[in-house]
Amino acid sequence: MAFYLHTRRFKVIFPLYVVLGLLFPILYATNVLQKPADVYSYTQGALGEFVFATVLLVTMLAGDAISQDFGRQGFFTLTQPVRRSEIMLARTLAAFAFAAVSILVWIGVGLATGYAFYGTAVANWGLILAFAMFLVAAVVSFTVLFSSLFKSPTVSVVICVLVVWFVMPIVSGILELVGVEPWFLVTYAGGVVTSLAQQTYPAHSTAINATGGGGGPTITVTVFSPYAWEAAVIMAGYLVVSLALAWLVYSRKELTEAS
Amino acid sequence: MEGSDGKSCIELNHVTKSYGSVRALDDLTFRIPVGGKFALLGPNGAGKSTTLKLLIGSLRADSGYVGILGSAPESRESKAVVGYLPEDALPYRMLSVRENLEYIAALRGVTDVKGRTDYLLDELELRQYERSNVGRLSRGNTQKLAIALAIVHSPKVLLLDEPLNYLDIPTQEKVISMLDEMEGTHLVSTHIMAIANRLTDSVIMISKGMFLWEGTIEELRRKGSPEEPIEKVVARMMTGAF
Repeated sequence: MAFYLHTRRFKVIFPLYVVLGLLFPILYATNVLQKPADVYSYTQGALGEFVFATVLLVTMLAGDAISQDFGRQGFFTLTQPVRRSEIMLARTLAAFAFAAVSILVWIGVGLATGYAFYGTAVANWGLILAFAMFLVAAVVSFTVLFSSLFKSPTVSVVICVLVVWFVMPIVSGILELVGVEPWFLVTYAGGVVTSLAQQTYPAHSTAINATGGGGGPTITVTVFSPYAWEAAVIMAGYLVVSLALAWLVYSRKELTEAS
Repeated sequence: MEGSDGKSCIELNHVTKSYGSVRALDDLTFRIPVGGKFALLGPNGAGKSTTLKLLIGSLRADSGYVGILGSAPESRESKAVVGYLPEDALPYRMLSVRENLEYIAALRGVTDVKGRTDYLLDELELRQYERSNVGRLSRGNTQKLAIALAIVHSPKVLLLDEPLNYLDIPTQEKVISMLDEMEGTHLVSTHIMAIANRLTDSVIMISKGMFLWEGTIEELRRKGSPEEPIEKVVARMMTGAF
């Protein structure tokens, strides 16, 4: 835990999330921006970038959770009479705890200010919080897996960011174009949080026809929204499989050089 | 697997270790008795650091037996009794000097964490840096902290890789006297004979990953003429001129 409290990342990211969480409520409260019509629109707007924010936070916090043990500091960790499984579990839980606190503050601000502005809360606020924490846990596990694959903390963070921020959204976009549900992407599963903030849970798939400019061909894009149970299964899959694979790698990897 | 000699503290038996196509250790065999103070001498690239890393369990041998008091180096029993100072040590940069010591002391099950930390801070003259983050320390003070971390639990087996690197002469003398007072088995990896001479009484010499010679420093001295510096004798042995 002390590592995260001391990291520049946490010192910067945590206040940043608090500020970002408070920014729009302050703009609404001071009438700089016009408030949405109801608490559902407000909450949906407040959680609009939830998946992106979660992934950003977690990759920054947990991207080097394991890889730091395969640099020179590892000689002070892996030589202690502590099982590697205990070290990995402690690191994973610490990353989860700090990411969860930041995300809870961010969502909490959104939900609480929604209640303050409209005198009511969205019906699914409990499920929103539960799925948010589930997503944090799944992304932490996935990030820990990447962290176990690379010796360099910087490389592990960068590769993880590339995969979750760029590769997954691109794959998701391509699949929507061909009408295939991206059921294997954790970022897709994370969409459940904003879906739960809506007054009516969106349809599982919606086909949207788009016509190109100048009378070009019409293309159909299918927008998918995960069922809540489906999102839970995807997140559980990432959580369990990623941690199992990370453990397999971590328990066998050698500390070969003082890099 | 039990070591073949029940009184051995450190044992390597026909150990081979390669990094890809490079063979770092080649059928290396030696034993160090309980309480022995040995230097592991060898030129650069001889396999000294690899030997120590096998003994702390951060590397696994391709073949052969490695044991610490009859336990596998990666076992909890072995790690509990070993203290290790890596070459160019880098303690936790995010933590302060005191936090590093208290953290490792707690992991090691030291009963009086604060007392032991205070003692080592004073002995190694780190008191004025106790609240400083390791990332801000000079190389010498980082080395002093790393030494403190290696001995914080008064280990039965101490493995030191170039322990006097970066230290000024008064601190070198302080560390030498601290190590002298410590009981237990010591294995000091170095390529500097003067350091071996100050910290140990026996030598295991290796070159190109293979065992070359073992004996006391006195025996080593007797291999040359009385006027001949011991370094010259060692150099001849390492280059196969004997």
